[in-house]
Formats: sequence, structure tokens, C-alpha cells
Amino acid sequence: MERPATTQPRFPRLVRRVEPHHAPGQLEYVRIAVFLAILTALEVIVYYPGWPKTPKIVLFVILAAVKFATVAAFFMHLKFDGRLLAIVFSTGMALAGSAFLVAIVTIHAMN
Amino acid sequence: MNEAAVATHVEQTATGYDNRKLFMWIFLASECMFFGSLIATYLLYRGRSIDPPYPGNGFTYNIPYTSVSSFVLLMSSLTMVLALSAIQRGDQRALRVWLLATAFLGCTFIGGQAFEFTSFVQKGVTLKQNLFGTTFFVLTGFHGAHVTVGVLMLLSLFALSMRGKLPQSSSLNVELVGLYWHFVDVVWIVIFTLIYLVKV
Repeated sequence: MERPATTQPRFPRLVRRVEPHHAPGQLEYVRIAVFLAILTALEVIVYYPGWPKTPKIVLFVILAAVKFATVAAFFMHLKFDGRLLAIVFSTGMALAGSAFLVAIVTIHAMN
Repeated sequence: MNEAAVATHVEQTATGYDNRKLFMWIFLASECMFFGSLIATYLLYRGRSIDPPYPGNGFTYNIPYTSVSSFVLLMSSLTMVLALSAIQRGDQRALRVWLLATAFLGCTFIGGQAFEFTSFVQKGVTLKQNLFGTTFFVLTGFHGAHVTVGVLMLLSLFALSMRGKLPQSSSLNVELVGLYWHFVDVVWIVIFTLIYLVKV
């Protein structure tokens, strides 16, 4: 049986969205791209010698995390599309991270 | 289907999302696990190669070159989101321009990767040479295959638009391809950092 057109989502708090006029405009997308390009340039600058190893690695991971989050939030619209999609995607990432940790622990145990 | 019909269709699902969009996100979540496994395998076998060359023993990455490739892929995410914005405004001409620009940048990235692979083979790094070669080529090769599939989808959208079969009400099709494309971009952000930049 077809639902009436006025049916509300079963999980309204998970699918609450930002109104279209609050989503980024073209100029804002360009600004975000410039920000991402600057972060990439920063990564290359930090790569070359002169920086201690551990802070360098920490900085690389932070820069990558910021770039990842920026693309996911703004270009993939996760920031504006409600929480359910973010939960779905985060679950995939968490499972990937868990598999990685299990593999590391297993290899270390075998050695 | 006009926009009102699309909106009604979305409201009729239990989650409030179009099922195709939800499925795409579930697919991307599964892709996280796929690439997560490949990246984990590369990192776990790093430094365990016996026969050179491998990083730290007769081989170094060309970071400036790969940085330009990364920049190209990042900018393709911008053109992709501008294509989506264009179809949502009903601007078919801008949609075609941005779709072609995205496909062109994707092809540039793939061409760069083909050049990089060739130079690696000339340096003695092959799929069968050692653990480094195997894990590196499998990981970056699968990523390149994903970019290639993305370019094919972009060109399909471009062809549909040229034939007048991609109206404003079909913006979800562009959004779904866009999600896939941005995912390929974020995966490269992780690969570029963990494989190319971080030296352990």
C-alpha cells in the first residue's frame, strides 16, 4: 500500500537537514578548495628536512584529517544532510580502523 | 519527474532519504573497509621487503610530482560540486562545462599515475619484485581503477546531458556520482599522507 505524501520520516532527528539557502554557494566552494590547496602546499613544505620526525608525522595526520573532514562535510554535504548518513559513513570508517588495529595487534603478537 | 514529485518520493521512504542516496552512502562505507584493508596491508608490510628497491633502500618517492597529482584531484572535487550546483540551478551549459572539467582533471590524474607507475618500473619496482611493490601497486592501482570508473560515469552524465536526458529534476544522479567522486578524493588524501609523506 502506498504511503500518503505527508508521511514523516521514521527517524526525524537523524534526517534533519539544513535548509537549501544555508548550504554553501559557489563562492564558498571556491574558498573551501583554496583552503584545501593551502593545506596540501603546507604538507609539502613540512615534508622537506628540518622538522623532527614525530611532530612531522603528527602534523601530517592532523592536516590529512582536516582535509578529509572538510571534503566530507562541505563537498559531500554531510554537514547539511542530517546525521543518519554521517553515522553510516562513520561506521564504515570505524570498522576499517578496527580491522587495521586487529591486524597490527595480530602481527605484533606473531612476532 | 518534476521537483515536487522528487520531494514527495523522498518523503515516502522510512528514513526520509531517497533510497538510492542511502544505498550510495552504505556502498561508500563498505569502500572505506576495502581501502582501509589495502592501506593497512601496505603499512603492515612496510620495511619488511627483502629485495631492494624499496623506500629507504635505493628508492624514493617523487613528492613534488605526487603533490601536483593530489592538487589536481582536489580541484576536481571543486569542479564536481560546481557541476551539482549548476544542475540544481537548472543551468545545463554550466553543468556540461563542469562535468567535462572534472573528467579532464580525473584523466590528468590517471595519466600522472600511469607515468609514475612507468617510472617506478624503470627503477626496478614491479608488482612481483618485493612486498613493497606488491602492496603499493595493488593499493594505488585499485584507487586508479576507481578514478577511471568515476571518469566513465562523468562522461555518461555528460552524454545524457547532451541528449537532453539529464533535466534539473534528475540532479540526484549527479549528486550520487559526485559522492563517489569525492570519496575517491578523500581516499587519495589518506593514501598521499600515509604512503607518500609519512616515513616511519
